[in-house]
Amino acid sequence: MSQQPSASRPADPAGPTPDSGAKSPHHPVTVARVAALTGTPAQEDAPVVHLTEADTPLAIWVLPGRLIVRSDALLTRWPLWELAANQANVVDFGARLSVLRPPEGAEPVVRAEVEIPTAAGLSDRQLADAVQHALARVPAALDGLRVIAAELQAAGRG
Amino acid sequence: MPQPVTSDAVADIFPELGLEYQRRGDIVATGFPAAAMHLTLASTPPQLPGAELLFDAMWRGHVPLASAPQLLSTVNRWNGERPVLTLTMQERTIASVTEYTVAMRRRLNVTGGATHQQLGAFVAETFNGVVECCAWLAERFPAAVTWEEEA
Repeated sequence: MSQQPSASRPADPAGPTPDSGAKSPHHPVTVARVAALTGTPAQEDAPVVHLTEADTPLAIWVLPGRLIVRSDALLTRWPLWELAANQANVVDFGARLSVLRPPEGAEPVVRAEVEIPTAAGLSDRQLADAVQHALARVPAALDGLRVIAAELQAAGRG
Repeated sequence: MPQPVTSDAVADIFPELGLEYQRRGDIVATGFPAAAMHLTLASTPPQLPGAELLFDAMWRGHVPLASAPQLLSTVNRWNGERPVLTLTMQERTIASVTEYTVAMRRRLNVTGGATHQQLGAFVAETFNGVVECCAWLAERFPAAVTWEEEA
């Protein structure tokens, strides 16, 4: 590489032509569009819709610049959940797994989520594709984590 | 209108963002002192047919085995708190010395194509996320930083 890009000068997060699209995208992603797509009523007090997919309760948060498709699940007490989550993220089930630190004495919780970038808007087709993939991948990642944890436990680690 | 995404379309973004890049076949690669990065197009799993653009980065820092538990905890914390990038702790053994580093990944579903604007926003936001993540790692593992930080 003849010249390294400078880390001290961030790339413009709005993209190459910030005046044309990112601030007023043709297809801004709204709670109403997500609610209509999933056939689920939006909550009145928060930018989120709740639904169930593959027996997994899911939330789709509509945040500035992104959707977050998320499910939290209770885990049994076991010291190696962070290791198992890392292994699952290396395998890459398409949804990110993290172990939330429980208050003293409480059971740990695993969070599986897919981030869908929306800063430059999404057409109806793009939104449908991205949400469909995310809704399948979040439960699959939770299943994958349980399989990896069972393998670690069978191997005698924890 | 969204267009099918090609590696040429991805590469076209870089000069517009003021970023240098290299082509290795269909891979578009870039980097800065703290991380190497590349973008590839991939098929999604057969049960969910489609296409996605993967932005992968590798931190250039390494920590010894003794620091692996802290690194694992740091990676898990980022994944639970930050919206952009999935971090994974990676192991490598060279000359029977095992060390650990961090890989970063973000994906964009491009099954229905993408506009130039969407690709630009994705590349810029992810690049900035990698820069931020490397600074965050360097703060927590200063001994792993063996390169000269830019002023």
